[in-house]
Amino acid sequence: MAESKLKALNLSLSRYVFAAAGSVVAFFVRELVQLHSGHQLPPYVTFYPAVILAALYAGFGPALLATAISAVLAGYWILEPIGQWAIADPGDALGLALFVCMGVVVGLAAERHRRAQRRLAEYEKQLALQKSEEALRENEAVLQTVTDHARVGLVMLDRNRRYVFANQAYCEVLGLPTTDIVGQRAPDVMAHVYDQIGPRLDRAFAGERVNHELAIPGLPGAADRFYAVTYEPRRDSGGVIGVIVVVVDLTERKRAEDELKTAKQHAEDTAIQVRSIIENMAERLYVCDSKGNLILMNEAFRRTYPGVPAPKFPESFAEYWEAFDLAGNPVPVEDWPIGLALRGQKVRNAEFRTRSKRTGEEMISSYNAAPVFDAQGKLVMALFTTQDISARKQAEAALRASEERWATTLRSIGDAVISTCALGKIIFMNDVAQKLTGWTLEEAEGKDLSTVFNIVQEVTRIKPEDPVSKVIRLGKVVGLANHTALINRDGTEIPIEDSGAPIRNHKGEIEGVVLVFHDVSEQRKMEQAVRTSDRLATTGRLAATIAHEIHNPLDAVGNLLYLVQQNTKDEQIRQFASLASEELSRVTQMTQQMLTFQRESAKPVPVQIEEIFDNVVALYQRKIESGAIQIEKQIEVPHPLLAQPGELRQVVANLLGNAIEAVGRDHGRIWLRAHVARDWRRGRSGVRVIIADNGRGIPAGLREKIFDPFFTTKGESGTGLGLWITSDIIRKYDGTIRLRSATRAGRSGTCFSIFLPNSAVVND
Amino acid sequence: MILCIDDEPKGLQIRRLLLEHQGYSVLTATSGREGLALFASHPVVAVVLDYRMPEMDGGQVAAELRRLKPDVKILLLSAYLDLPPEVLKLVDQRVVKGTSPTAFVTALQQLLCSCQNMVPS
Repeated sequence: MAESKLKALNLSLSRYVFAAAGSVVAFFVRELVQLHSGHQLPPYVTFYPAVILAALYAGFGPALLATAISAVLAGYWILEPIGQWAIADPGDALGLALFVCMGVVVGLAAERHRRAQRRLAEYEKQLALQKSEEALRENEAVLQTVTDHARVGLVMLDRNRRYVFANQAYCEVLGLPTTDIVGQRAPDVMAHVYDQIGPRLDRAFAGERVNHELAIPGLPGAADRFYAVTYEPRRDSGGVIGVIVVVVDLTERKRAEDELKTAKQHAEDTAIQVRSIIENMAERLYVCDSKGNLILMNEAFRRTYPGVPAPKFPESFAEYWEAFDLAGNPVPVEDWPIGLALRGQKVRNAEFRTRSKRTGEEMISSYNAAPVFDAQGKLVMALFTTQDISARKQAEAALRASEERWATTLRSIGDAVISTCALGKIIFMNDVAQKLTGWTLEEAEGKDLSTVFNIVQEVTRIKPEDPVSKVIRLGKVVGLANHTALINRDGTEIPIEDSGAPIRNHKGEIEGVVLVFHDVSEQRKMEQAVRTSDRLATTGRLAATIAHEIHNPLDAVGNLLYLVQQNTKDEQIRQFASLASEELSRVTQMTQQMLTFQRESAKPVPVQIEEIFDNVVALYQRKIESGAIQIEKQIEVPHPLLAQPGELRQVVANLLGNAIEAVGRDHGRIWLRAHVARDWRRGRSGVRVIIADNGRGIPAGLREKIFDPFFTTKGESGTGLGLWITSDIIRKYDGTIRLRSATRAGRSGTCFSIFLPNSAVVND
Repeated sequence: MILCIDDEPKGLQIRRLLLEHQGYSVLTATSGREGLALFASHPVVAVVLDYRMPEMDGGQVAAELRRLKPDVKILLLSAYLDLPPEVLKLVDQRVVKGTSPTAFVTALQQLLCSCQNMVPS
């Protein structure tokens, strides 16, 4: 205050001094010029400018002073008398007075001008001030807006740590209205964290720019909040007058950073895991770029290419391995799965056999390969994995072989096999079952058993209990009812015998039923044949026993009759005895034939058919000659037959006897033939014996009956047993006998065709 | 002297009648053992032997007869047709029982022809 007063005083003093000095200078200038030019100058010529200048630049007071001094100087030194205070000339006095008046007027005018100037300047200043204030306010407003919208908190603190300014964001951070902040002291407002802020603020006020992170613990239930705080010292010429504090909320960023860190860690962990998986997996993995250069291979793959740091497709692969498809055809390296993947194809479960060119080691592997495309669809990578399936293939082959064996076994067994699930739906049928039921497996699969296995009781025609339910009900192996017949799909009835059994799993539960059955028609026939044979045998044995027993009395009666005949002369008695003898010999004949029927079983011996024929022909020689019968023999059997000669003789004798009987005395012809032959029905080889005649033939109605015992067409001379015994002998040799006959006059004849299988033929 | 062995007594008797009618002297036995005993103690030239007998069958008897007197004539008279070959070897002739008495007598005569011991009267 004192200073300014002094300044003001100095100022006004200097003005007066200036004015005075100007006047004096004006006087001297005039004198000088007057001196130099020699002219008389008007007295006030220089005083006027001095006064005007003084008025303009110094003001009214100094102008008056200048006028006064100029008047004095003019009056004393310029106006006559010079050096005196008197003015001689009244004109001069008037001039002086005028001068003085002008001076006053000028001074006043100048003062007014100056005052006007001053007012204008002030107005201008005020205007400028207003403008600047306005601008300032505008700026402030802008600043406020900007700072309010700034996501960072901005405050300014003065030297007293007092909030001079705080933006909206900062207020929000603190959760306080602006009014509670601006004007307050930071230590009070930020008391809870001032231990972190205070020291830093101090450093800032010392002129240092300070950055730190501020952690504000969250309220219970809320998270901690983190801020990056910057203290910017605000300087002017006198030093730091304030600090601008910039507060950036880091919480979100921190959280994001933490999440990112966690995610990165997680990704790293995942990458490690993936890496570990890749390295430890049993499958070999190879990844290459679009040119076949290695990108990645796992441990398993490395082991297949030891010593090759970066196997390249196709060169390295072709060098080490050759590959074949499972049919054995070689596969060129371009067509290997990775090659196909590099051409954009996916390969799934392709199986190849590979052979190492170095070690010769072979293995069968399964390959999966795939191309990898980028977002634009360009192929950037290709990869393949492969797994050694040699063991699996072996197991598969073994399993197939085992299945084949089972299938073959099932096919081969003579019995039919059907297996069902526990509900009775058909799962499997073997060939025999398919044949007997008339259904193929494809048709029958999944159907109910009863649909396919259509059984009926032969006599009652009632459908028996479903085998599956029976087996499941009883839980054990069951045979089914006797005299069951299976009705084939085409309607034929087949007598069967069967048994069903439960299929149990390892827990013992019933999983299904397996049914095994077979066609017993053959068996029945055989049984019938056996029964017949037995009957025959029994009958035969019986007959033989009776016959044998009869022989003794026969013999005795025969002898007695003979004696009667010898010991009587009575012709009639002799005749009676003779007739009785004849009848007796018939009985003997019969019994003899029956005895041949029951033989002691002797071992078969090699027998030549030709010999048999000759023997029998010799036996009938007399009858042949007396009937003028022509016998034709044709024997083409190189090997002997294994047989009992008596039996063969019996057969031939019976048939030849019948033939001789048939042709009578009509110059008949009899053919005796034997040759090697085949029984096509049962696929056996053997010998065919044919005895044919051109006799009267056997009428159609009798052809079946002639093989019956005690059937004879020979009237009283026949026993009726011949063909019966013959067929029995042939049956014993498991042979067949066929009869063809015609009775038409002129074309009549009979042919007996016997087949004896090779089991009866001796093979030397 | 002819020895007839047969387990059937009636038939045996009738056979004896027949043979005696032909002029032979006949001994009879109903079992092999009895027959052998008689054979040992009598001058038997020919034996008419049945095959099927209890205890000793014709084959065994024939064997024994052969042992005792190798050149005795044995005629096997049997209802059986299939006789074991070894038995057939032992006997000299074989006739089927029940064939006509004439055949039997003729066979016996043929057998004894060589003997010339007995001449039917």
